[in-house]
Amino acid sequence: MFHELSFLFLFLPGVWLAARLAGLAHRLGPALVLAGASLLFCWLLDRSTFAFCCLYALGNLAGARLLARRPSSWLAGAVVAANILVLGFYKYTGFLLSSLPHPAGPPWPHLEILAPLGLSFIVFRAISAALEIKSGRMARFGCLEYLLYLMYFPTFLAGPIATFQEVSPQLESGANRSDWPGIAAGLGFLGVGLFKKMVLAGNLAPLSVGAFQAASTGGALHFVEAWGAALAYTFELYFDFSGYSDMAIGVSRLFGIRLPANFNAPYRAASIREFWRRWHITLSRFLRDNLYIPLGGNRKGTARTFLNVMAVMGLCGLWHGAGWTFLVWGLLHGACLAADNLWRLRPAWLNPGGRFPRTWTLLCWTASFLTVVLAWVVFRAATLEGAMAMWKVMFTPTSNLFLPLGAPGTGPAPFEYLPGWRVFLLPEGILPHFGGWSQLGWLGASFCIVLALPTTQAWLAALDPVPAPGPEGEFPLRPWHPGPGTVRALVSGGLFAAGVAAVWFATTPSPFLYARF
Amino acid sequence: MRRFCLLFLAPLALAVALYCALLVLAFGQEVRGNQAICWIVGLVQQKSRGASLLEGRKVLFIGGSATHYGLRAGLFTGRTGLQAYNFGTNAGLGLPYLLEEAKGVLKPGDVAVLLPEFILYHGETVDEVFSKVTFSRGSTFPLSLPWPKLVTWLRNIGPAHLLRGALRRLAPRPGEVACSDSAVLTAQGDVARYFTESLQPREFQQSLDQAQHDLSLWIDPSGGDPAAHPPARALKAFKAWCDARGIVVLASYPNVYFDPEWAARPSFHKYLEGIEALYRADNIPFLGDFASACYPRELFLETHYHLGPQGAARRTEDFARLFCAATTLCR
Repeated sequence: MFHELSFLFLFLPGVWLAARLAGLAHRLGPALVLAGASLLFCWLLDRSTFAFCCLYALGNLAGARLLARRPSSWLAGAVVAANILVLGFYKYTGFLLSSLPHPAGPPWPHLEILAPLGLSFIVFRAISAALEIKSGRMARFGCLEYLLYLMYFPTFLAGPIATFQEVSPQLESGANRSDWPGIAAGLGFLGVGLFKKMVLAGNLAPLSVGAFQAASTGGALHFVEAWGAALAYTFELYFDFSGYSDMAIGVSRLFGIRLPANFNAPYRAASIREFWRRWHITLSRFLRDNLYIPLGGNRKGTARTFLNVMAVMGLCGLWHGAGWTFLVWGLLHGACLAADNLWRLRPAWLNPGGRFPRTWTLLCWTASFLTVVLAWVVFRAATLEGAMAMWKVMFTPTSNLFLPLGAPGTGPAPFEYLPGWRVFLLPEGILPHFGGWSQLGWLGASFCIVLALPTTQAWLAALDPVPAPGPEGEFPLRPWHPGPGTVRALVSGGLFAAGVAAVWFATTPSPFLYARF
Repeated sequence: MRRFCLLFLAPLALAVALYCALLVLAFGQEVRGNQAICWIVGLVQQKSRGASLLEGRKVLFIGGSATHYGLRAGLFTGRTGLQAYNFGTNAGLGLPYLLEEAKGVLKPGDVAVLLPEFILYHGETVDEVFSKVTFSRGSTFPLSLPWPKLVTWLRNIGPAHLLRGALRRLAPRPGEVACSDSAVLTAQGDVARYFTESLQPREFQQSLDQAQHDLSLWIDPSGGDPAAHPPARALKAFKAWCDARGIVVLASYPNVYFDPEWAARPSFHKYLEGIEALYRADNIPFLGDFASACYPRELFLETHYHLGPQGAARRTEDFARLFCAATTLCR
């Protein structure tokens, strides 16, 4: 894992040095070192599934070579189907058996098949490569290139899901081009990513556990606790996954290989459509190019577009995990995207943002953000019942807001800010699933970071621009502009140092959330 | 860009320097943020001080909390006429460290009685208790650990501990209650006040019920031969150290409530044989057998190895008899 000291201070410098030295000896040296390092990474990650991953990659290589020689639709279909079957077997067999109605008699056996780490991502890379080869975009490629694309250690565990075409030309010669701007940008991405994961996500993670557990076990929950937990998870997931993606991009950049950006300030999005252009960008692109467009996209009428969106988002939900909660999460987003599509078909005279564009954008942002937060609740909940329980508490109107922020011994002294609305400051600890000032502080800091600070790629753009994922959005607040190079270097280095300190003092392991999808 | 890379690494270098400074400043300073650890630190401090103050030959009982709660050094002195000290502290510290602490108070002519809990025969655990206690004691013992364990030891000392320790070193507060005040002991290291006084009998019962069948708490079933684990080497080195100073070393089983279910396990008797063989190999006389260290359930406190006042008195009487029968030291 990228956030382990052994990776940061042994594996990474060792591989980097070996790649540099190998580059001096032979043109293909760095690629061979990267291939060896990727195998070692895979082996260290999960020894029990190492052999499977190797066989799987070799099987796909055979399929890809055949496809390159005879690029037929049925062969491409067979490669894609084989990959989906493997994914389906590992991820969905248990879920299907537990969901299928069984006739009277003994129930279906409970099956829990342990999927190899990173399987969901390697399958998508294999499918992407097969379709690119079939379309002729990648008609010529080497075996080393292909295997490295599938197993490349910076993207092995959780992406970004780069296309074969994007990465392939860089893989064979990329490490030779590793230069100071690339190293500077790589270090910058690594520092920011480590900070996001270890300091921000690491401190937000425990803030949502209690409330979600209480909701799933029928425990008592308060309005403040439910919203506090939902927001904490919203930010945790973003910092965790975008931190991982930043680190993957940074590690790769150290070897001279550019990966596409995966996030672009998603919580500044003023619509769900915009959110999906900013959240897990490479997954959205994969689904759009390989599923939504082949299904007909928006070219076959409104009803068919609606169905296509729902199908794609339903599958997107299931890809994240085999469970009803993930499916509902995907369908919720699908419904919102469909509603967004319908709204865009409105007559020209219906233009609420015409006169007050900033206010309208702010309203749209609020609605979109709250929708995303509510959808994360079902994504995080252990069961649908648990999610319903959380939603119920979140929507229970109350005119008495109890905030557990008072000093010990504080009595319930109400403060009236609005007529009929009273705020009580209670001693901390009264609400067991709300962390008091500490939780409020982390949530406030998270809001400031996602709304007012630049994205990692914007922060480091001056060093070595990453392919821009698009503008930073319509959000009314303009992000803080990065200062001069010295400040940027010191701040990035400071974030890296803080991340390393958090890793050093961590008492429990904190795996990346997306690694289990 | 080279400048960027250098500046990028500057905060890390600064953080490492600050960390080293905090380590140096906080080393040997008590942790008072964690009550349980502070209690153990206080216990080790008091016992080290108390045992080193004794003049003349002494019998030193070495072990974890089973020894602390299981024996009465004062009563032992009364029965045998030998000056004794209860040096039982906490099994979480590991046998090598307990022996290292004992070395600090043993003098030529003394008798060291080893009563390690079974778990002490397995591995060197570098957990939070061990790390914080040794750090607070200012012990250099962890420096002898293999480097991955040394890293774990350092990582277990959290930033709050370091900051508090450094502040205490730079600005000592004279009126502050020290960890050594938390354990109440007699002049011979015996328990003077039980922590369980505040607990309800029902809580004892629940705790004992949970623990009594859990053999793994007490004996590691997968542990195999105790001679194959690092503490065996520490034991051998300790014996050699004692031999060089004319210190007599004896050993026995720790007091425990015996659950008959354990006897049904085939590996159990083999395991006990392994322990006795370990001492035989080092020429350390072993006192009594497993049955002689087993006591009825009603004599225990909240676990199956912490004896209550009556249990400790009975255990001490039994042990004094065993001791006198095996040695020629008693009057």
